[in-house]
Amino acid sequence: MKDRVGKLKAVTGRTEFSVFLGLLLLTVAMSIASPFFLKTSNIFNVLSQISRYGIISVGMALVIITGGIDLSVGYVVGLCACVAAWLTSQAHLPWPAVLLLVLLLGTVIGTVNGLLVTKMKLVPFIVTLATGKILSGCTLLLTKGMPISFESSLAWLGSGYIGPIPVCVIIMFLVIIGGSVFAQCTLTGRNIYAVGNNERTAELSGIKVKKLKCSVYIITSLLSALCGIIVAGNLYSSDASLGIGYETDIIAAVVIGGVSMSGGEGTVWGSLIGAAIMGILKNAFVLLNISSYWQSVVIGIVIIVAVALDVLRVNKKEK
Amino acid sequence: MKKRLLNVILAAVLAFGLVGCGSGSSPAAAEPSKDTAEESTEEPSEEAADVSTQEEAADTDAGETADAPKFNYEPKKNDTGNEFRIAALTVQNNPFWVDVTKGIEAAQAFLAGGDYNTTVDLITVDDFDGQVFAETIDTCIVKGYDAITTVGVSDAIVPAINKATQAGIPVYVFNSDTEKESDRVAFVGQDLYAAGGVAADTAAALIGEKGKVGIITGLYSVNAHELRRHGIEDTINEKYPDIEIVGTTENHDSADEAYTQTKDFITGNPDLSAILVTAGGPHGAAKAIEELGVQDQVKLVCFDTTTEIVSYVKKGIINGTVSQDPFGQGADPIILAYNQLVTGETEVTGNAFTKMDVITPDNVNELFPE
Amino acid sequence: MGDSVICELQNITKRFPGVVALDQVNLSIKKGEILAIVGENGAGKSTLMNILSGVFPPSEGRILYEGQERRFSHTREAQELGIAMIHQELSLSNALSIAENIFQGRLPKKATGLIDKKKLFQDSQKLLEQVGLGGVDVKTLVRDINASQQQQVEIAKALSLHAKLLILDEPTSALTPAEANVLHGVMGKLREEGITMLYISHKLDEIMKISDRIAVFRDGRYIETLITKDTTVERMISLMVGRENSAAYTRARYMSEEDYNSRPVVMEVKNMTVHKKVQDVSFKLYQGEILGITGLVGAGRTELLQAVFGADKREHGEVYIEGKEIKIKHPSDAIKSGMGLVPEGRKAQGLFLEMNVRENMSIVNLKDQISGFRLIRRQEERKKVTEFNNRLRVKTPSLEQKIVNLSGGNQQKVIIARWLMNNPKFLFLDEPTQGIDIGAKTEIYDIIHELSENGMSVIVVSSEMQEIMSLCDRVIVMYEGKVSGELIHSDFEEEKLMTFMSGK
Repeated sequence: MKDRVGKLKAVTGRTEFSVFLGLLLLTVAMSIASPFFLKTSNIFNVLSQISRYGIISVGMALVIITGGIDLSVGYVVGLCACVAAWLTSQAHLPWPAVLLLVLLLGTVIGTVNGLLVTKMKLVPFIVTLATGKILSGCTLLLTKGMPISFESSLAWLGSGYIGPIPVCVIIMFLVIIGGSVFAQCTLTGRNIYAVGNNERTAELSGIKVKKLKCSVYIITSLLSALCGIIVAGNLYSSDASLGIGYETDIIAAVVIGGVSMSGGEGTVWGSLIGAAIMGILKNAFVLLNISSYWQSVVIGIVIIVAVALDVLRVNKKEK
Repeated sequence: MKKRLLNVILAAVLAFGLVGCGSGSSPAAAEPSKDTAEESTEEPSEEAADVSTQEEAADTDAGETADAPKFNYEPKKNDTGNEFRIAALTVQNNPFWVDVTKGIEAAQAFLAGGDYNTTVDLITVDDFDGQVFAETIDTCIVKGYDAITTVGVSDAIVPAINKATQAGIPVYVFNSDTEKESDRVAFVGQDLYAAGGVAADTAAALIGEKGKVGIITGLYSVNAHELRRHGIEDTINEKYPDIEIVGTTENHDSADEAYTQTKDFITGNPDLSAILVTAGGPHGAAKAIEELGVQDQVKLVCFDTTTEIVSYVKKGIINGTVSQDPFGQGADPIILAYNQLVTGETEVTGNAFTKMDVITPDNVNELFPE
Repeated sequence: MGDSVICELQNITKRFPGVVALDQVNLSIKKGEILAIVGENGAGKSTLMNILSGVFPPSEGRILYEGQERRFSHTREAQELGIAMIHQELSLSNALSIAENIFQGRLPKKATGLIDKKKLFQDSQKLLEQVGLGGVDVKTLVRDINASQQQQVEIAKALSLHAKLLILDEPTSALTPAEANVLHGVMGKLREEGITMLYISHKLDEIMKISDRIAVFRDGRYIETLITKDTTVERMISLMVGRENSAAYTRARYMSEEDYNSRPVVMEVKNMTVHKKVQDVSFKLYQGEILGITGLVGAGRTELLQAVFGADKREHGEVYIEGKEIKIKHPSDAIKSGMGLVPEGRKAQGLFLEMNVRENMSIVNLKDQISGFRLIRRQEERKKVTEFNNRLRVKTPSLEQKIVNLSGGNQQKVIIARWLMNNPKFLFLDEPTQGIDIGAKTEIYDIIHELSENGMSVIVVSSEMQEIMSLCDRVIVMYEGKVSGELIHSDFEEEKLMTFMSGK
């Protein structure tokens, strides 16, 4: 009996639960506020839009849990989108080769990030900001500022449907489920939380901390590369401005979803709730005809509140 | 426990704020402004935005019987018995769009009248972001608008335009068309390539058909800018062999960047004869030329007639600017779309080029009196 | 040094949950003297100094300073009265200059509000001369001067606050003998100016050299004050260790010389060197023994152990297990060869504070509790954790309890269980009973004893004399990175050990 009450408390006491409540309230409010909100087409639209950063937030959650951060994700998306388009239209490669090469590119970028952070012990914030900028330059060099059209079977990933459901939404759910199982139920997942909790203790417990930290950056860049293909597929075109600003939304989604910026805490599926909240808010602005300027203000406020709540939570623990 | 409560309060306040915004026309929704949660700042501002559009509608209702503003196309009276809803999407990143917005708002006010019975929703986007425009068009489809007018910011919106057309929603593109072909009904805007040629001719005449010129273009990714640029370059290369293009830069529609780039051009080419700016921010170039005091040597030709540009033309720093009727670009697509909804027929297809004038220091005072 | 008393502590008692740190301490401090405070770890020295400098108040008793009773609610209040503490960890900002550090937070300002640089440098220069650093430029950055000079700057800072009573906590632990001499010179000068100093140190020969009187503490009680010129190191030591203590822990049996001759050597460490911390240390570990490693702070015990375990870089050194050399570059290598390490400072290195009991316990052995795809078998994990939970009698309401909610003793048991679950052949424990009450201590001793009875070879690093003597079959004493002595249980004597620890 005690254990059952304990389990109930364990569920409701979690951050994810209260964030989920917030999401429910938001959904209810939106359905009242706009008759279009619950239309199937709108729901799938919103889910599609969320999938762009929802997919990457799985990786970002893991990175932040280990105590790091990755500010290069948006630029990886942009570069990979343009590379995919270029390989298809200029190099005329078949789609399996394009897919493989782009994912390989993501892996390489992630490895560079990971090595700079672990071997050279550089601060992740600065490192990933810098690599992001370099990638942005590479994208401009590749595209010379012009858009590149993306007509390929791979575009199905971004604009295809299975039944009524967009493929990218299915991919998002698969990635989130896979990511959650990985984080909560596997040995590596447990080790990742351990590293985020206390690197020294983890090292002394035999965990190869450096390797683990490196691998989460690789996962994140890989997912960003996939996202690049999806985004290009959705628009049938790519240009250097794609992906810019993604990192803000992704980090916001992850933090709102309960991952703590100080590491060691939070879940992958919580990020989905965070992404959903952000997505619904953005959708709200257009559905309700509110000027886009307010959108930036409100989203900024929501991010500040989420991070402040996170800090309060950590401080309370330390007392 | 405390943090959980805060989370729920946050969501509740957001929720009530949104409900307050969406529900009905009464701006004075009895939202508790005495909320203790931190987010109370955002709630009243959302309402304020909503309130302003309501007030506008109220104002024009009163002025319904005033003269219809000069539209390039005649709006037909609505005898279908249906109310129509049109979405007008525009950018808002520099002064040029202010005039476009005036055109949209004029159409909006006019069509709200009893004989026309149409609501026009103005939707602004901060920047030339193709992805955001595409998502916005998607949402407009969901909201079941009867027609959509939009700036053709990039090829990224082509799938969305096609989706809308397939759903039975006609789409009109203005100011800049997409490079890729889409299912849009018509393009309302400048014959951009020809305009480029006109600008080149104007500049050539000013410098005696010989010398060095620099080109400052807006964005390589915007088709409109590209067409003008190609128009300029092709005309110079074909008609004026003694004119050399020393360089091309991208100023992203920003006056600041145009300012810096102009100074760099002049520093790198002390014998520069002219600068052509294809898109937004030419007053930055004008400021640079004025500061360096080289307006007699370096001629400046650009496009559009924002307040800043007009004032520099009057000063003689800008020697020629090609106008593209921004007011018309805002209003015409809406009127055309409205007419299509009322009559069921398309009045114009393909390209509906707006009129082009060259404003110079000689005619500026006549066309733009104080 | 006259006979006037600057400060008197009367019946000071301090209680923490589960332990009495100070018991009815009475101490008189004479104005202008250098009074040494000595005692073993846990004797209460730090607690007493914290009370005197205002970090926390006593549970009972009173402080009389300059004739008046004082209650400090903040260190600032003590500072304003002239009581300043120079901690072991210096509080200087490396990137700022000496002058800026001395007057940190109190930079002199001109009428306009800008910093009065001239006055700042002048005042700093005067203070530097007072502490014997007159030749150093006050504009030098703190990171560009050596450790002993930094210490002098700390003292200058205290003097700038008009300190009358300086408390120096292990001031020479990070200094070379030459640098220590410089410090002592400074102290001599200050004494001539009438400043009183309390000198806490384990370095007994220094104390003999520098102090006027020596106050000895033991087990939270004040024992006696010796007059330095009339006493000896031996007398000091005997007062420090003399115990009426009856219920000392004892094991059923300890290994004798014959045992040592018959048991095999299971592990041997040769020429272990860790940069600046451990010099060329070699030792053997016999089957089933409990080997103790002890020494003062800075002796290099922890560094030695962590180097063997692969947790810290070594300059050179080899580890042999049953005669074969094993390359250990990372703790995972050590763990594979059958080692386990319960580190010191469990909050910093031993626990995952955000996780629960189960997660803390299973972390090392988890790799044996997984199925394909590296998925964790929850049932198996729970079963194993429950088994070890019971075996070590860990008191916790459930396995899912957050580890921070357990008492220190139970936390330590969880860490020990973590390693036992992995079935090690060698278990290293570094300060295993740090911050744990008597009851839990005994339990842990029993556990360690049982392990050795069952054939596990154990190394215990400890600075508590009592613990070493009651738990270990053999002890190695370290001093400043080298082995200074070795004794087997039958030869254990406190004074002998203390002597080794002080480097003789």
